[in-house]
Amino acid sequence: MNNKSIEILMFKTLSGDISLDEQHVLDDLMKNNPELVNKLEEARKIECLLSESSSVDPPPEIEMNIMSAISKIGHKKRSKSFSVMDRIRDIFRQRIFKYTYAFGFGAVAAIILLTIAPIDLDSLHHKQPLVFSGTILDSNNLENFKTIIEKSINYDSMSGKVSFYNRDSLLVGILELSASQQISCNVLYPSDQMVISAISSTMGLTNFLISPGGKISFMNFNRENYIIQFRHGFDKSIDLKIDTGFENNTLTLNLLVGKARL
Amino acid sequence: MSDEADRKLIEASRAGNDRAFGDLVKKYQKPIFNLALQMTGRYDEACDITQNTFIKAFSNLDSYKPDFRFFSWIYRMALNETINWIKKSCRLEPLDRHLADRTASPEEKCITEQMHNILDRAIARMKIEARVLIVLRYFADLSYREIGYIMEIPEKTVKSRLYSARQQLQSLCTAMGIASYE
Repeated sequence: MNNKSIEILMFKTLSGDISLDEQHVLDDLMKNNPELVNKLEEARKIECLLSESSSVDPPPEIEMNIMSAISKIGHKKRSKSFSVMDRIRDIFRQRIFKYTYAFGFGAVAAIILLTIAPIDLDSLHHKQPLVFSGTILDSNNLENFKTIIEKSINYDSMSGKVSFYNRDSLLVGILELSASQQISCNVLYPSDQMVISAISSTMGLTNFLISPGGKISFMNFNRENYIIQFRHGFDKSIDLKIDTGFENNTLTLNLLVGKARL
Repeated sequence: MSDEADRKLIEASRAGNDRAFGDLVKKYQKPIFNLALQMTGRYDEACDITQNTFIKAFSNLDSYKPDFRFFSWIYRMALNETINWIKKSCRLEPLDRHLADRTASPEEKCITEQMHNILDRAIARMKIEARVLIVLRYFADLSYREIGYIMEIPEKTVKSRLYSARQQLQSLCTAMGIASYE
């Protein structure tokens, strides 16, 4: 019997899947092989440790947070069934994932370019998934941000609203994508206390592929993660809801709004 | 609570009863939290992953088909969420074992702590797929069939890969000195 077969027998005896005959074979093998006995003992020790591993109770606020979030999502907006549209969207999403990494580089470049100077992205619109990268650098640049969006984006079939909430469920900002091909951004939070800047773009891009219940992750300066939940309706409208908080009045946000043709 | 009870809760949730979904959260938050905790080694991240998983499950509740257990369905979601986090962050730290409640004499506790720490570090060093298998099998107590469903591989493949994963874990543990403890 070769080493591999012996190891399989050992694995079987540890997992309790071993037959009586196989156990006899293993016992015979071990009689004359102290090394094998040690090996099995070692494996048993690990098995024992693994089985002893106790679980940890999650903090109670998890449940509260979940319930709070689902009450905000509401039932009306939840998809009604796993429809053909969902399947199409799944296929669409799978295809998009293939290009995500390559596309990430494009998004980085887009962020840099948009930060430096407004550009017209219309030429990209009909050729490939369109990504908008908006960067709010600080309160003084909020107006620029709005201008850049309005000049650069032509989402002919998108409409929706992004609402920014802080931890106290206070509405702090709204980003609107209207059917009139205009996007406007209002920050309701006292702007002199709000500093927003871009971080790694690929993360946001990766997550911002339109699918029901998708998300964008981003971090603030304290490296705390916040999640932007978003939904995509059948009418291709976007309903983004950001339920997050501010630490020391500082939030780092990388916002990418993407659209690809079906 | 049986699968039938889960089904009733899902139906009630679909009908707009948030409390029913709350019961599902109560029931499954612990195994999902522990999956995330074991996989990421980070308490805060595990909290986030757990929350996101349930919110995602709620949003997609209508796409759930009762061919499989609700637990398997949501567990797969949690696993994807966790793997995405790992791939993005590439940060892994051993778990803080003090979080776990263990009852033993101080000496035993100390030795067990050390061994568990080594085990955690070894698990954290494993490749993602192997780590997933170990966590699902030993920390979630899932059957081969359920693991197969969650990982989208046949049951036989689960067994063979689990075998390799254990080999990998054993080598790591041995290399890290776990065998020296009696």
